[in-house]
Amino acid sequence: MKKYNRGTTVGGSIILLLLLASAFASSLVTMNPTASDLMNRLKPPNFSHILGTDHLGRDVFSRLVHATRLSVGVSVAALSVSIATGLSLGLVAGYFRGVIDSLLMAVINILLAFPGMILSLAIVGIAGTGLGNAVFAVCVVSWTGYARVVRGMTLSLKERDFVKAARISGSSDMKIIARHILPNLLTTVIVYAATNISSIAMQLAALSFLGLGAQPPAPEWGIMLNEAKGYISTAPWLILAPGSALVLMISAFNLFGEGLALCLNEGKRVGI
Amino acid sequence: MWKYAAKKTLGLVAILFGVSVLTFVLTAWIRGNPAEVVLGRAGVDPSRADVVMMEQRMGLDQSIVARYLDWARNLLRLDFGTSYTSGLPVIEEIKYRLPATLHLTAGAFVLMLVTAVPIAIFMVVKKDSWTEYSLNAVTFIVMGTPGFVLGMGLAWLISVRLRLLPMVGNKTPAHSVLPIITLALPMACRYIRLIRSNIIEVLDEDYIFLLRTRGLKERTILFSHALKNAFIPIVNLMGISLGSLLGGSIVVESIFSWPGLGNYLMISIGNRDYPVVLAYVLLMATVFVAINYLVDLFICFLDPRIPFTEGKGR
Amino acid sequence: MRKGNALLSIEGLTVAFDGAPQPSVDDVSLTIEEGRILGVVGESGCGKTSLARAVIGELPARGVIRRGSIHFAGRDLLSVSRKELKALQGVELGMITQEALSSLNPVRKIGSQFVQTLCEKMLVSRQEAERSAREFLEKMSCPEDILSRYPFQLSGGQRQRVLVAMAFALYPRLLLADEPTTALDSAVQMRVLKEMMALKTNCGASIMLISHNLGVIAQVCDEVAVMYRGRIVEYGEAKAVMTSPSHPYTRGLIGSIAYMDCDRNRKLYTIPECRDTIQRPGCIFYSRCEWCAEKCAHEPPPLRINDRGVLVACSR
Repeated sequence: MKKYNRGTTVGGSIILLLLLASAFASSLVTMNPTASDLMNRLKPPNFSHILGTDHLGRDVFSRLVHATRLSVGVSVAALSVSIATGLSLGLVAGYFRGVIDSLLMAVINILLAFPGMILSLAIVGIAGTGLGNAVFAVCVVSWTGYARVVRGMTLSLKERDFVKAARISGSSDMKIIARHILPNLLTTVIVYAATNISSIAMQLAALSFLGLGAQPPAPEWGIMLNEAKGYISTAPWLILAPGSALVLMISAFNLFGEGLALCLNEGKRVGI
Repeated sequence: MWKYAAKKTLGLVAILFGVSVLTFVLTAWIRGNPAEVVLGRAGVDPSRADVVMMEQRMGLDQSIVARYLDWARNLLRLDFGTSYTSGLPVIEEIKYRLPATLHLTAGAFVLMLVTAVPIAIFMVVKKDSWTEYSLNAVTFIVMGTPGFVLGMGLAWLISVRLRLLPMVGNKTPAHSVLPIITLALPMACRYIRLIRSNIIEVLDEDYIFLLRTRGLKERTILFSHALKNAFIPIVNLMGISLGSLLGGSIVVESIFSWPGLGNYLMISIGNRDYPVVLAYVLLMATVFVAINYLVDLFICFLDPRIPFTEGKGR
Repeated sequence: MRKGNALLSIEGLTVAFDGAPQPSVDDVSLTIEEGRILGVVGESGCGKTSLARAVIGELPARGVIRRGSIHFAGRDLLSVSRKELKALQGVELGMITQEALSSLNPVRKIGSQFVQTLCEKMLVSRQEAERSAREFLEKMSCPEDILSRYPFQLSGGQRQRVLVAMAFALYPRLLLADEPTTALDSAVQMRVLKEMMALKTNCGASIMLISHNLGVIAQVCDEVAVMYRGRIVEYGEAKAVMTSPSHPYTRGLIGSIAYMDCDRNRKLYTIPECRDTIQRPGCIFYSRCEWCAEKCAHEPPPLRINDRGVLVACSR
């Protein structure tokens, strides 16, 4: 820990608040996020609906709060899957080299030849729309970063004296990976994850916005924006609420990630 | 240098081959039998015999390798198959819509360059002033704004409230202003921050200190020494950002009903028009890979050390 | 000290960095006369580099000059405008630094960097600048084609030679050479040093040679100042200081040089490790001194002149 960073604290607190909101969404808001009230369509913000109502008369505030569950939760899920895949494949390839390594690098290089958003769109477009496929598509795009970072570091850690010493003294490969290599990778992976999650969240939201991710009537910020698209001129508050929520979440992730990278002095290695 | 270029070219060919294989693999995820999809689109409930006949016509009864080779051979002749929806060759459909998308991405790229560099330099010159702090905050927030949020915000503010610019379509040059700004702005902000921190980092180098002790003007130091060095990592990233621009164009086209490839892709996904989706992915990956290949060569020209250090770090 | 025709005279200079508990240069007074070489010796972190940077007016952003004055050729360097300073830098006051690899722009050819500096500072045409660059590089025995090479294609010695040539090509009256040969191996070090001294005589410059290598200092310097923790502890004629050092720190430095012909059984002298990092009221060298007396702990030693005309900051 080189120095204290205000950005990390602020970003971290916002993320924590969002996580809390998603955990206690139903007790925070009493109104049903999917109950439509066709008598009260497209009402601007007022006392009973502080952020107004949408084209089906659903309460925007309630939808906004419930959406944290999908928007934040799904991003975290996609992040975890990407980390797990990238970390394990990168470790194995970097440590054992050989055919696995060449194969992994070939696959990564091919995947990196596709612009990320376009590859995930194509996967969802072909495999079919839906939240599960969207998460899968985003993971296909983002695990490569982890695999590359982890593989590179494993390669260099393997040459370090403490690993050589452990090998000479007869530790098994699994033990060396678990005791000596993995702990030395973790900081970098955490910093990389902290800087990567904003782009994962952004991609998932974009997929939902395009109608390929989470499906209506589920409350999700991307979907809310998609539904608001037709009402830009008549009901701009429908854009403002989920739009600000998205910007807040992504900026919080950025703030947290940048700050963490600065604190732990890992900026160079993860490329920011 | 030539050896390096040859190595890169070989890599390019290998990657393009890999790209075609992976795109082909994507077809494995198609839900249901493509022959049935095609027949079903014609509105008939296909009988077993019809499906088998269609499979033969589409070559689906051959082995996977034979199918790939057949498909790849057609690709080399720019034959991407025919669209299920329109029955026209996919390449014709793409050719028809490509200019609109190029207009958008090229415009955004140029706008990004001409705004990011001066603003970044301005921030370095104004370091530690309130101007810099506020620019810092603004660029940070815009950087974290997804294209569709920014686009809809701008559309509301500029088209609906201020009535300055038209919102939907691409009839006049004025129509392209909002989509281009929407596409360029978040990326430009990312670059402003990157270029700024790179320049500041380079200005901290020993040789900059030494140039100062030789009494060279700060302007000479910034423009003829620091900028070039600060730019090398940026140029590398620009090739990669082009991918984000291409991806972002889909969202922007969908907001502003811009009749380009992205919009066409979304319609085709909705219609389960797989040949179009595959052709689009393949085309974008090829463009992306080719641009990055050129960027690699260009960097080599900027930084003479590259051909000598490449490969040592791996 | 003789106060004849001092080119550079520093009086009571104190330089401090934000956040550092003690100043990195503390009440330092020095003079360099026209054509002379002053050696500044001391361990890493003793403030040698800060001293040089303060003289040339390019302290790092956190460094502040608290007290003192720097006069160069009759001008008060601390009160000249930024513009005047820029005009002095390079042409009147030159500087060479230690890290030769990072001291040259890595992505521009030697020739282009050299010529640009000459064109801007000497107001000459490109052709003239190139001719002059060639001449100086030849004097530093650099290969013919060095102008069209990049820094990463040169050896450490060549890079250092380029820096020396670049500095002298502007004909500075005073060259601040901060560890100019430290990164080189000793054979190259001596050759570069010799060529540098020849060039110095040629151009008639004075030099402030900063080094922690006493061998280098003993060979070329006219005067020596020994610095410890930002202060000058001994300052005088090089010969007098090197042959009969008076301050325990200088004695320790000289005693710890290993010679080929010295008695193998004799233990190499080592200065005791630094034990305290806080500033005490007394002598700054107190905690490491083997000859310290009781009063050294709380009474700072006065700067006095010993029998050989050397200034020493020691009470004993």
